[in-house]
Amino acid sequence: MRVSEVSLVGHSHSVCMLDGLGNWRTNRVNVPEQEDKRYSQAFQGWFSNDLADQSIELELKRETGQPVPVKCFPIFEGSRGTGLVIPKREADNKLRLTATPTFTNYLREFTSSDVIISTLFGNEHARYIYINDLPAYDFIAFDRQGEGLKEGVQPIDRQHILNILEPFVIKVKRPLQYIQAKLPEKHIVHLLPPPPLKDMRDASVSEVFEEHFEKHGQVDEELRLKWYGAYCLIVEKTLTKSGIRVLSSPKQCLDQDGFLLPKFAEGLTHGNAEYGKEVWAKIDKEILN
Amino acid sequence: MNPYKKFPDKNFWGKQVANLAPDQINYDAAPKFQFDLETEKFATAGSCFAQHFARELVNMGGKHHVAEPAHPLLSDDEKSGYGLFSARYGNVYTARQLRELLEQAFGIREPVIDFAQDKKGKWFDLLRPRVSKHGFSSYEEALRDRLYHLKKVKEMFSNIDVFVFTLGLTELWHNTKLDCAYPICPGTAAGEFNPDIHQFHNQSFSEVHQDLADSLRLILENAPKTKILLTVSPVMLVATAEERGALQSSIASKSILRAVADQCCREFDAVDYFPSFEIITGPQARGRFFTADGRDVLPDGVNTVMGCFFRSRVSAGGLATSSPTSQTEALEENTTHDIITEAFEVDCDEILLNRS
Repeated sequence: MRVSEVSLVGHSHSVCMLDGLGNWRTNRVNVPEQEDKRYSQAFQGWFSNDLADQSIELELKRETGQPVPVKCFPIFEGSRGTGLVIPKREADNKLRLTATPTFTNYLREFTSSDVIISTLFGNEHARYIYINDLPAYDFIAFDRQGEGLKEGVQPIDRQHILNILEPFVIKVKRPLQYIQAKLPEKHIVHLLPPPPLKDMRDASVSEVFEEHFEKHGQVDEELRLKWYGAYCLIVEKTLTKSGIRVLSSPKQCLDQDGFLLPKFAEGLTHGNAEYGKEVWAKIDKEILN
Repeated sequence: MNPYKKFPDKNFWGKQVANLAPDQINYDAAPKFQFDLETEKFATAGSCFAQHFARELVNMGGKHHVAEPAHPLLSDDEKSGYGLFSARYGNVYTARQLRELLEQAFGIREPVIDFAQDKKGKWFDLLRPRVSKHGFSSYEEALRDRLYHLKKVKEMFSNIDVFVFTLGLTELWHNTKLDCAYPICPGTAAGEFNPDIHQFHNQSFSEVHQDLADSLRLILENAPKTKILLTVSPVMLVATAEERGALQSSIASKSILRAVADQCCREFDAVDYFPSFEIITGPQARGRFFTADGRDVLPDGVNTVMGCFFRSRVSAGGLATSSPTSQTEALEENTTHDIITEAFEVDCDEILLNRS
């Protein structure tokens, strides 16, 4: 594919992608005087800034060939709402999606790009991955048959897990489908969030989970990976069915069980700049080449 | 002089029953034991009528122990089969079912695995076909759920003081290959009827007695301090598989169950009978507690039964003083209106026979 420009749009999982490209904060992000100690340095300002729908222009240096301009549209949590499309059930019972003003602006900007990379949402299931506030339970991993189910705890049917995850997946699917409908010639790629760490003590910060951990403890590693696997599988199946390419975390960032290696982590739930670089390398290899 | 001269009023129909309003009759004149709602935990099992007991017990501030509650991960729509009884066994209509359930729970026999897959690929446990509204996603999940259920049934008896069992039916469908009794004929709620292995059987007095006595022994061996309260469901059969017709079968069935309950009370010190059946079906009620079709029980009947229970069975000072909702262990908070309305909406497998 001959690519002249790439767009990146997404929520907090954009940070590693931006950091993977270079210094994007200069003159754009106001770092508040008081540090938010729940988050690492990379996230300071992320939850309090508003870029007023402006894009950040960076460059992807490729393994071979010319660098590709990357237009980034980080959806700052401090900006005007994190939802991009508003669903409304019409009189004919059909669901109509309306873009928010922010998203409408992004769509205009996307027109010059050949590839649109999404890191939309991706942490909605995190409370299940991390906070151990529920009675003991287990479920069969979505990619396995029965093995590894803990004895004696309440088995939860996978249909119930699916029902929990489905609304989160729809949140990702709707804006991407909207882009597809408005800009059918664009190649859309969604990046799955990085997996959890095997040992959560390896996280430099616990983000918003600290007080919950103190109160409830942490979910065990096996269940953590099952939730992550279930979320990713459903996102992948749903988006692939709609013709949207889905990219998983680069293998070299993971340990043999599929957990994120600590050197690629930025806090508890995010990847760091090194992780971002690996993802860009994967995009370069699998999408842009 | 004869012995009757010394008998109290309750021993005479004219004094105990005749000319008294239904709520003035002392239906439960010689209870073996009473209960303390403040401290004693109840478990329930049996036919649909047992669900009324659980609901009203909670409403009065009693402790209905739910050994197998719905997990918080489940949405309200997914909680079918939970909270109706103390564990997720669904309706246990017959003494045979109870015995087989206990034998599996206490490890006397291997768990009976009899699952069926529907056209959508979902799996159902034919021994409790309606506990999962939409079915299990796989055979493995159905199996794990069954094993977990049996574990919880066993645990239940370690955590209760009173076990209330409502005998419902003598008629059952039996799997000759697996040697197990179903709550309802395969092919009605789930699965497919196979005449080669699914056979009808109507239990005699001695068979019901054997099954119930074995069940009681099993409970008391594993939980010796348990008080067991038997009741007989006054709800008539939806349908009979006998040639003689639903009315005769209903009365024959209820008569056998009532007689077995009586026999077991004589044999076991820890077992007593509560006369909900008599309150609803006795001639003093003149049929007023039955629905128009004469089969099911009206909320007024349930209230009369439970009113009698609380008057005669709850020991003085043993009535719960805290708010009723604080005593619930798993049932949701309901208003009195809701409870009465819902009294009609008990989850009853047997009703499916009408649809087949």
